[in-house]
Amino acid sequence: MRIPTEQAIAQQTVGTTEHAITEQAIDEYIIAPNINPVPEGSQQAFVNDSARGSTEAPRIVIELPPVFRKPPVTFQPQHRFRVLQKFEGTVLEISEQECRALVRDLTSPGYVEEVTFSIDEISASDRSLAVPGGIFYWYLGYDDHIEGQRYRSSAIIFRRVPAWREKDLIKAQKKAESLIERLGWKREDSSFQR
Amino acid sequence: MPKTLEFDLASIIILGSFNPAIFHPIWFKANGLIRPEEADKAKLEITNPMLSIFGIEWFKLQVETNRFVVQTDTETHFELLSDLVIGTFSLLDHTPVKAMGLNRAMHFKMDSEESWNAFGDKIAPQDVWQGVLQEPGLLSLVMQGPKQRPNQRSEKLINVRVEPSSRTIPGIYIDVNNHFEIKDNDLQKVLNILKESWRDVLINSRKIADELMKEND
Repeated sequence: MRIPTEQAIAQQTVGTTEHAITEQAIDEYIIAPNINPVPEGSQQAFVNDSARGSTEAPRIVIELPPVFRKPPVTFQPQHRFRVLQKFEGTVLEISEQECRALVRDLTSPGYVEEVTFSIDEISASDRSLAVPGGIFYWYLGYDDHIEGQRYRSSAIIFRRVPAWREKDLIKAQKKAESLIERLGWKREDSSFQR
Repeated sequence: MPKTLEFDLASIIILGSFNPAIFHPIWFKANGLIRPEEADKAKLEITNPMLSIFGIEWFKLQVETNRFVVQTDTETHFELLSDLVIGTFSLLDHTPVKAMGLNRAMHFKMDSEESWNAFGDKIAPQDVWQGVLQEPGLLSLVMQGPKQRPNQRSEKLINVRVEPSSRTIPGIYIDVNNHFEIKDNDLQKVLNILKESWRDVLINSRKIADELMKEND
């Protein structure tokens, strides 16, 4: 009774193609070689993992011509940012020196406040995104470096989503016009009247 | 029981049909999805019609003809990871998709080998294995919910994998895979799930891990 999913997976593999695809898809998700590579060793409640690297199939198999084969790349972070508090902000107004924004606390939902901060807090490459309506994330936390040093740090990062395309605007306009027509409203330039 | 989250990784995986050659730092830069200086400093591993792999400071991307994978271990960029995927597939809006996985993988450092073993014993009791294996030990355990029955499929499944961590010893690795089946190659559904659920998925995945670890307290 403690292993219901093993039964479920067994059913998938002997079931229809549909189920087999599902099961296969789950396997394909696993990118553990990057995330949890083979440990150096363990014992007692956990098994010594040296066997994993021997006869078990690797979880990612990419068949490429030998010339393309490269060792798997793993993350080797030089520092890690430990988030203590994070906010989502919307730019209300921006001047040459300051940015006024409405921020809501994502760590304590419900807290909303208007803040003003120097635009020097915004990285140069994000300045073009800092326009009224622009959305950003603001993180406060510790920046732990690999050598052991800890810095208190703050980071403002603007969201990057693609601009509206002409075809999106035309599609939205057609949808709006269809809705207006169904509601029986009359259109006069930029305003609508019943 | 004292434990510390040492490594925290988020990933978004989409299964479908892709053209890997498109997924190049220059394409992301040209479409404003990454900063110009990020693209200029990108580490390009490989790019060809079968496979594209590159990484920038905060994410690593790998695209095969049937799988798109992007992951980050920078918590400040968890939210932005979904923006990146939404932006990418808003542009590639005719991409056929069949499934998506929203994943959070966590490595918890345990304060002692005793507490580490106690956790393993609790989640996979060794008593069951006495007489079956010599010195049994947990290598990997995957639990799935909801339970799948013959001829039934859920649109959403959660797979939780528990293993000894290889990054921190003694440590526990917990990987929460939120699997979404996508019918009719509906890319818009993928985008909607990301827009509406990504943050909740991250929070819930952490809650699952905390709940498992709590049992050991």
